[in-house]
Amino acid sequence: MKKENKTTHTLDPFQAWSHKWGRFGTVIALIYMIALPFVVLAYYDSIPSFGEVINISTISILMIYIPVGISEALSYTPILGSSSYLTFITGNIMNLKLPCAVNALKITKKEANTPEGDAIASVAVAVSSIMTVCILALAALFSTWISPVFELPAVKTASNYIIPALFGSLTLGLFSSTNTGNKVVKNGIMGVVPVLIIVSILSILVRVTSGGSLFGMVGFLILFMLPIALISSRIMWKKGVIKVVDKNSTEE
Amino acid sequence: MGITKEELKKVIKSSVVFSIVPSLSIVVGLFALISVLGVVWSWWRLSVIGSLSYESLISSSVSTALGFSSNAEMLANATGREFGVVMILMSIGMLSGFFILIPFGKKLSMSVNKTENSSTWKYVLSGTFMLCLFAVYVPVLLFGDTIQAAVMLTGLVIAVGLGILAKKSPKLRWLGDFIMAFSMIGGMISSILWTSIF
Amino acid sequence: MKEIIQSPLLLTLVSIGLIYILGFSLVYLKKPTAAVWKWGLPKKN
Repeated sequence: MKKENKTTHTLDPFQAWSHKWGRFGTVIALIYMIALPFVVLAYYDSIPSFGEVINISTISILMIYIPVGISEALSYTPILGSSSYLTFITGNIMNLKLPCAVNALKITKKEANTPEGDAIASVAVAVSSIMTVCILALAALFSTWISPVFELPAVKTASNYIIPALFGSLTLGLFSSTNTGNKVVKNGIMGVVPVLIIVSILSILVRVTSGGSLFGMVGFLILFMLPIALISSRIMWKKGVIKVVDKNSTEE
Repeated sequence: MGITKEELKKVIKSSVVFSIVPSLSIVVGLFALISVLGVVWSWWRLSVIGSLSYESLISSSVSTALGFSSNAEMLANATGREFGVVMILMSIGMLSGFFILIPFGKKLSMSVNKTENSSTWKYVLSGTFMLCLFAVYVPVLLFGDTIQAAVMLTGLVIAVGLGILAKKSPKLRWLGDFIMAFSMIGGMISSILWTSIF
Repeated sequence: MKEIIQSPLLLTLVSIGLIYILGFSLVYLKKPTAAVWKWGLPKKN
């Protein structure tokens, strides 16, 4: 049974198989990912209470990443087709899996979401996942071997500064455009300028008056600033300050 | 019609090669995370959905929420329950995508060529959340604590430097994949210097 | 916490999870490869 490249809505047997088992396998993976901590914690009699897990500080980070997850699913599934199941389970979509899959589609000159496209994307994603799992396993092995290094005081100091270091590189992203799929958002940062100003003023005030930082309050700040950011982004977008253009027409 | 064996082999080969460098970059991030969470758990989290930035942010905010003054302190002194909080949050936080993918995956794939929406708001919207995160953290880090600011700026400088280098010569293009990992580790290492100065 | 981080139970569960992912990947490697092979054959109709 051969499928042509037209976008008809009956599924090729491969795609049907791929979606069906992809879903099933993903549900299993999902349950496993959620259950794993609970099993271990139960064994050590250390399951935390609900309040310990869900509180203001933690909610704020979740509030940022829940929409991110949703938008990733919405943006990438149309490209990945039935290979999206494995992709989402293994993660590292933007920096690894998606380029791999897109590259595969380009090499074979297939369209996304055709049976051929799905098949070749699945191959690419599968190979990539296997590579990553193996490399990470070796790295983990290596790490246990050099584990005394992680006990060094210098390393412990350094471990406290993961977040600032992380934001150092991410700040670059603040000033460039963000892209999802094939559209680029330009000047997105203008939308959060009010937040930047407010938080800067607050931080300086706190620093000047008490010498401390608002680091511990980041959770609250995020929650309060989100509505402001959303509103001002919308205003900026309506005014045309924030623009969305097709990826191919701009070069960054 | 169809895909030739040649093309298939090419795809496999290029996927292998393509994956090596970014995987190594993830390994660098793994080392950073191990210093906070230990080998096994960091290994697991970076192998499944959940990026380095998310895992670090969650462990940092849990650490603050629980009242630890530093990640190292949390690693040394947290009780099982407290670590449990970190484990659970990491595991459930990134699952939102699945709640779209599992029910709608097939449908999303079918309606791939949805025509241009007149509204581009949704693209702006999804970026705004992350931008808000930055817009809060960056000033707090910059103005709140000298060492944090120094580390962040160091990371930024490294990132910019690597970016420029990567663009300069095709030989150094692989650097591009490592920008985040190297600038993060570089920043962390520089913290040792900054703590001794300030 | 140390005992959880270094617990053999955690290691076992993580390993099982990763083997599952490997298995998933292998299945998703073999099945499309087989399908592609079939498609690559000259059409009979």
